[in-house]
This record gives sequence, C-alpha cells and structure tokens, in this order.
Amino acid sequence: MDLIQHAPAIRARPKSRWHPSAVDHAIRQALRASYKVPSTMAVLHDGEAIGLVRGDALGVASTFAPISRRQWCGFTSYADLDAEAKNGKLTRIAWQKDTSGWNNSSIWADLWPVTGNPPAGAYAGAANTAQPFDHTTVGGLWTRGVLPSASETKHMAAWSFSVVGASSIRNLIVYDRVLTYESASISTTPTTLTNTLPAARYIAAGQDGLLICVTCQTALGAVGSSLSALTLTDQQGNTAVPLAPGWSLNWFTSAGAPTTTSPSVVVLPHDAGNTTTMTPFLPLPGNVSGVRLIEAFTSSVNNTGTACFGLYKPVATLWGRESMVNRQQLARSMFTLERIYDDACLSFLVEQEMGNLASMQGTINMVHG
Amino acid sequence: MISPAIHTESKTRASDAIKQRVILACARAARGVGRLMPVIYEGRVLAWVGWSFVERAAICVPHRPWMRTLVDRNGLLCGFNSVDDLIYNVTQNGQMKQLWWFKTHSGGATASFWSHLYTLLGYPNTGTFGGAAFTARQHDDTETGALMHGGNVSPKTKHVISSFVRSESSSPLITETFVTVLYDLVLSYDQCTIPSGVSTTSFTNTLPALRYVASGDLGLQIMGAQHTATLGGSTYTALKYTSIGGTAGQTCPTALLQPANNTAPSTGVAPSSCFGQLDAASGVDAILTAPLVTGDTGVKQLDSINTNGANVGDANDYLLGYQLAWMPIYGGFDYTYALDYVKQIPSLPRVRDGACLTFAMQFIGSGIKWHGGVNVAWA
Repeated sequence: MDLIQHAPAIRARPKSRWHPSAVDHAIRQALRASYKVPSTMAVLHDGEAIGLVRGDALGVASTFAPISRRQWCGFTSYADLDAEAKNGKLTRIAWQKDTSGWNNSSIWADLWPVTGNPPAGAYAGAANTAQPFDHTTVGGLWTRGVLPSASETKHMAAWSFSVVGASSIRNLIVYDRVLTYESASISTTPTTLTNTLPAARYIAAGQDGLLICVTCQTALGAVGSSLSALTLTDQQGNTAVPLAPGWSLNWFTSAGAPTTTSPSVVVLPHDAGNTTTMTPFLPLPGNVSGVRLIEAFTSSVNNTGTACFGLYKPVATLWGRESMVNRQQLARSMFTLERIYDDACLSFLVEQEMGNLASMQGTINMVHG
Repeated sequence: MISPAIHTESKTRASDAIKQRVILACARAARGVGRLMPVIYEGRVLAWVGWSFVERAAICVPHRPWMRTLVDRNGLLCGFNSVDDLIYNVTQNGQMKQLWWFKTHSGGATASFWSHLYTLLGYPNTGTFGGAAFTARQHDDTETGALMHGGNVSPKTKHVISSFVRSESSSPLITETFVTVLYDLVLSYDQCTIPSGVSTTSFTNTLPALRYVASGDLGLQIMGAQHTATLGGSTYTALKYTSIGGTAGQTCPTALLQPANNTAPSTGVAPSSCFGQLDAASGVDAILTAPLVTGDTGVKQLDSINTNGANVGDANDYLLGYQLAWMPIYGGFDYTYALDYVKQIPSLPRVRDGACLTFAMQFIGSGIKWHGGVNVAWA
C-alpha cells in the first residue's frame, strides 16, 4: 500500500504544529471531511501523514487509523541501507537493447519497441484512448514488482551502462511509462482523446504530474506540419489548459516506423530544418510541473502516419561514453536514490548523437526497505 | 548573535515526551549563555533557549516558522544534520525532486560571450523579458521560463544535492570551455531602450526584490541581457544601484559596454547575450556580473543609468539574480558532467521559496542543445 495512491489527502494546517491537541484537531477535521466519502484518504498534518481516514457511503461512520510507521519508507541512514542490502533486499537488474538497425543524429528516441531485455513493447492500445501501463506490461523492465511488505519502497542505488558501436550515445533517460494515447493522427481536425482510464502514478495531490513525450508509431509522411493546439489537465486538476508554447512545435517529417532494432523517434518538437529534436518532452505552461491527462490536440496540416502521445515520468539519467562501461552509484556519490514505484513500467529514452549503433546494455541496482 | 545551535540526537524519534526532554536538556546547557540558541532535533528547530541574567533563569521560546529567518541569516541553514539525515529525508519522506531541463538554439551566439538561456526553446518553456521599460518586475517559480522546483517548503529549506549538464552539437568544432551557471532570477528591468542624447534614466522600483535582500543577506548581482540587436562598442553607461547596505546611488566602477554588432536574440535561434565588462580589445564579455563598489556584496535595486547618446534605440534587459551553482563542462561538446554537492564539493546551495531558476552559459558554437538535471532535497 502506498499513501500516494490514496488521493486526495486531507491537509490540516492549524497554526500550532505538533502539539497533541493540534494533532487531535487535525484528526477531527479529517473525520468530518470524510463524511460520506467511501475511500481511504491520507491525513496530512504539517506536511506529514499522520493517519488514514475513511467514511462510508451512507454517512453512518468514519474511521481513523494512525500510521505507526511512515508509508513512504526507504532508509534512515547508510547503516540501514547497508543492512537492508545485506538482508537480500538488493536487486541487480540487467537490461540490454538491440539497436543495430538505427542510424540517426541529434534525435531522441524511445527504446520501448526495441527487442532485448526487457523484450519489445507493443502499441496495442485503442486509437486516441488512454492506456495505462504497469509492471505486468510486456516491454517494461522487471523491477521486482509489488513488494511483499506494503511498508517498503524501492530506490535506485547504482547504475551502469555501455554502448557498443560507432556511435556517440552518451545519455539515457530511464522513464516510467505511465500512460499512452496511441495511433494518433496528424490532422487539422481536432482529436479528442478518451480518458476513461486514468494515470496510475505521479498524479496524486502533491505530486508533480507527468511529462508529454510524442513518438513515432507508424511512418510519417513528408508533409511539414506543427502541433497547433493541445489542451490538458494539469497536475493541480485544472482542465482545458492550453499548451501555447509561443513557438512552433514542428512535427518530424518522414520519420521511419520503429522496428525491433530501431527505436521510435521523438517526433515533437523538431526544428524547422527537420534535423533535430528540440526537447524530448513538450514544453509546459508556466506554473505547470506536469499533466494528469491530455484532452485534445490539433495539427496545422494533415500528414500520413501515426504517433503515440506518452505521459512519462523521467526517473533517472544515465550518462557516460561509448565503448566503455559507465557507472554511478547513487547512495554515496550522487545522492539521488530515485524511487521506483512497485507498479512502475520502466523503459528508456535515448539521444542518438551520430553514427551507427549496435547495442546498449547495463544494470540498475535497486535496494528496498 | 544566536549561534551556535544545540544539535541533539536520540535513538528514538520524535515524540512529544522526547522533544520536551531535549528542550529541557538544552535549557540546562544554556545556563549562563546570554543569547538565544536554536534547539535542533531531527533536523528541525524545536525551540530557542538562552539564559536571563536578570531573572537568573533559563529562557525557552517555542519555535515559530518565521523564526527560521533568524536561523538562515546566521548561517544555520538547517538543511541536513548529516548524510544519514539526507538519506532519511530523500527515501523515507520523499523530500527530493529531480528538475529536468532541455534547452536548444539553432543560431549562433557571439563567441565566448555569456548568454542567458531563459529565452531559449525547450523545457522549461521560453521566458520573455516583456515588462514595462525601466520598471522593476518580480520573478518567481510560477512563471513560464522558470525551472519548477516543487514549490515552497518553508519552514524547511531546500538544497541542490547534485546536478548534471550535457552539451550536444552537430558541429565538432566546439573546443571552448563551457560553464553553466544556475541562478535565481529575482528582478528584471525589461526592454530598456537607450534614449537619444546624453541623459540619465531612472528606474521605477515600485516592486521590490523578494529574495536575498533582507538584513543579513548578501544581496543580488547585476547581469545584463541584450534585448535587441546592438551596434555596441561605444555606449558608455554609468549604472547606479542601491547597495544591500541601503546606500543609494552607488555607481558600478567599470564602464559597461554593449557587445558590438551583435544580432538580436531570437527565440530558439540566438540567446540573449550578456553585456558587462567587455574586453575593449577583443570585445569578449569576460564577466557575467557587473562589478560593484568595493565593499558592496550585492544590490537591492537599480537606481538609474547614464548613457552618452551612442547606440540610440538599442535595448537591454537588466537582471538582478543570485548565483546558486556553477556547472563546468570541460573540453567541448557531447559530454555529460555530473556534480555532487554533498561529498564532492560540499556546498548544498539553497533554493529559496519562490526561486525563479534559470541558467546563464558561456560558450562558442551554434546549433547546440543542452540537457541537464538539478536534484534538490529538503528537510
């Protein structure tokens, strides 16, 4: 169980802080607020979860359960982290991708459809319809799945990777593939997306939301076009928020279809010369850290081919040089210890600088506790 | 004077009984100490204790969030008590955020000039210097162009714990050492057009700077950004400011010159070049921030600017910011450089509530993309 998934939380903000009466007051407020609300919600007091509250549909009774141990767990110290690793809670995850069919430059791409370990992921969703992903989806990197203890969390402790081939890939982004809208057309007719299924991670109250990454699903035609409009629901729940970047978000023309040895290139936004991915994630409006869902989008000119609108959460960056093993440990040097959610569906974004690429492989060390 | 703090540790964690025991122990330790000291337990200020020589008794004052400023200004940033404490807050409390950024431009920038990435394409989106001319405009983390860092965390404090930056270019000719500076853009005076004739133009300061200008702070630094194409070279500007100490009319001791024949900044094409203390011979802008009068650590606001009638019509943006971190890139393009601010170069620069984070960079080349990350954590 993870508190983050029990949104919305009830936030209590009395003037006094951790005095027992202030906590009691916060609990009373939460119980009142849960009247006729038949779902479990976290009670946050002074920024910390102090318990769970739940009402019933009839409004007969509300219950409060204190949290004896923080639900976002992890490690209290180096010693604790070491002890957990020695207790068998260290998992080394090896991954490999065959990118022998790819030769590009200055292009970001998604390794999701590429074969290897994890195996190639599919584009099996209905057109223009939200499709959530989790740890059971084929194509996602195995990360030990749901932990047996609900009171533990997983964190990256180290990573390594190497690239084989006459390439200059020196940067990988590990991301959590949370939601996609597939088979999206480039059309002047507005496309309204179906959002029956919500994103399952990173969109709860207090979280940053997700970033939009648009990749090629089937080969795009040679017609120049741009994303003329896109509306979204932001991380705070504001609806119909326009993207309105103030500059032209050009589609990449003539993008080749992804194969099991050639990743899916990021097709928005590209420069006017159609040579460079400007950024792997679409720029968001001010005061928007992420999105919950995409509502609709329109393009300036029709073009053939389809794209996949993904809602991703970048988890970590792996960096280094080709033809050598690059490694970094995150508990004693870079101090990031990125959390990996139990049901995360991890994959990779990569920027191909130039040259041919044979394969890439690496490991992710994960400790939970 | 309120330092030093009394740091306490306990095997068990915070319960009210333990907190009271901690405060009591600190009150005993403060016997004969005629000033208040913060009692810090589990990374938090619980209370303030001292000794009253009049009452001949210990004084204990409950902590309130506003008192945090007292702590900050005396150098006790109360970030993390230890590396263990950092691990605890990152993994147990989830008090860490990764701030991703991507910036790109397709045109050239003047060689070796400092440039601001605020107006460039990418993520975060392009910011604009579109405020009223010669008028102070406040910046914060809610505006387009600012790297969002997770909102306010007071009374806790947020710190940069690590970062990385990567430059990429299709051109293999970039050999200049690159430097990326992460700074908090606090105030700007936008699109200030140089008037005709020898004249003095006053800045309007209805809105004050919101960060780094309180008593005890170091103040802000002055940076210039070219707003339009400039002829450059001969414009002499005497820039006057109010120092952090409150002295108005301080004059930057060195003439500030426009970059010569510099093209206009253009979204996604060319960044806005800085201007400042140019090297007269090479025209290279060697200094990011304007020099201040000896003894001044920073400024509160700009007062006025004198121009000599040259380059009429050129426009500049004047920026007041606070540099948080330097991220060097050694040897050229297509490499990633990572910095750890906890153990590698302990500094843990603080990101204040409302900070408008953006970047300045010194580089040579065209068609460059940058990709980086800033990891922050708080406690």
